[in-house]
Amino acid sequence: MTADQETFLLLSAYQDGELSPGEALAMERRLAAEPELRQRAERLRTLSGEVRNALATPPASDALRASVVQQIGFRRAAPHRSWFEAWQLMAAVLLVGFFGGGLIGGGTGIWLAALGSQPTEDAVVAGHLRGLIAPQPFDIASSNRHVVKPWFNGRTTVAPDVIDLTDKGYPLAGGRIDVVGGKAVPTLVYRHDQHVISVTVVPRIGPMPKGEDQRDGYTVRHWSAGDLTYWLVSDLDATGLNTFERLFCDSPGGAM
Amino acid sequence: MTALAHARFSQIVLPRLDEGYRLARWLTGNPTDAEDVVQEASLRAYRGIEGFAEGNARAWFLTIVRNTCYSWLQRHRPRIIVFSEDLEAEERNSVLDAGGVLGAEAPQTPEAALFAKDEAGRLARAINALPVPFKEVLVLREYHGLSYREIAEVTGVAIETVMSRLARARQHLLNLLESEPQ
Repeated sequence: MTADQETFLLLSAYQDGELSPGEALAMERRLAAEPELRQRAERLRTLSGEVRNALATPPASDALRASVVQQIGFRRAAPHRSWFEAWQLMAAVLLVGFFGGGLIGGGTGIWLAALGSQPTEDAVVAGHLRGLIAPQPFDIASSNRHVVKPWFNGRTTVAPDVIDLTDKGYPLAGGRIDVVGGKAVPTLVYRHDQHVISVTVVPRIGPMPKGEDQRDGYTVRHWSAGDLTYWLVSDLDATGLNTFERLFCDSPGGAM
Repeated sequence: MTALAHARFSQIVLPRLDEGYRLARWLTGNPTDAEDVVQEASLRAYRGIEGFAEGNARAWFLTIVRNTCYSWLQRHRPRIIVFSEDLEAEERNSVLDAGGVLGAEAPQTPEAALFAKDEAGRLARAINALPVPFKEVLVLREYHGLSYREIAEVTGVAIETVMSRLARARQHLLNLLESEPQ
């Protein structure tokens, strides 16, 4: 090892607080005396900060956590911070409150909505998966919104505004009919690179704040506008989805 | 017995899944493989949980993840693992000086392709291309914040080796960042 390499080794260990008190003292003296070494120490410190940033990858997914738990054979899934579960718990508490206090009435819409969200989520995810398994993820293929919108008329009770985001990198691929709660509802299908994004539009039942959940590797998001709730399912990453959601919602007729 | 094992697993392993995942993420080089490794490591940890008496639970679990990564790499990426602890220092040196050629032979994942395009991802790419023995000390030190002694325990090498690998990995990254155009 050259003297230079040895110096760097000591410097690196000094920065990690791993030198013996005697060695650390010697290093401090050298740092005080050698400006060039100080500069090197500074670069090393900067590098550490940058490396730490670079290593901060997204954390383990809930899906991984769930499959580990399942593999070990716990009877119940580990507590995970699903927004829906929290909401349902809250709704259950509310419900107990309503019955306990004999205040059934005005609040029923809230718990109906809460109890309704899980089956709806199940249904939209199932619709998305069915679309992916089928030869194509849509029932009508068209990138023309003026073709897709009329196609829904008569087939579903909801006829959503069809938003075209082709020039923004999210081309419309077509439309599909999904069944949610026994009713036929429209789903708009978009593409982004290799990813498919399904946006299912269902009539809103009660207050539905925005929410997000992870299901089998898919992200499920929903938001409401007017008397409709929009459910998005995709395996696109969060950044891509955020862009899509913003573009979708900002478009005229595109909710929120 | 099982209930006890479950309870200990929930206490010792589950809270550390994230840390295990990040180690696996960098050692395997991609998120999907990391998930497989963490799943396998968790099962190993569960089987061994009764044998884990007292001590550093974190180092214990990270050791299992690290060893699972190595056996996974041996099975799926035999070319990456050729440099091991018994290589002569000079040989290791040349591997490192060649800019992590061995790491560069890893299949080009979409993520790697993205890194290649992204100016800000240059450092991440350089870290990814480090030979595994250097990468693991770097991640365990910079991300997990383990002491040299703990890193030595997890990786099964001497503290002096940890110290020199860490210094060389850092020097390598500095050289690389300074040589490439900004």
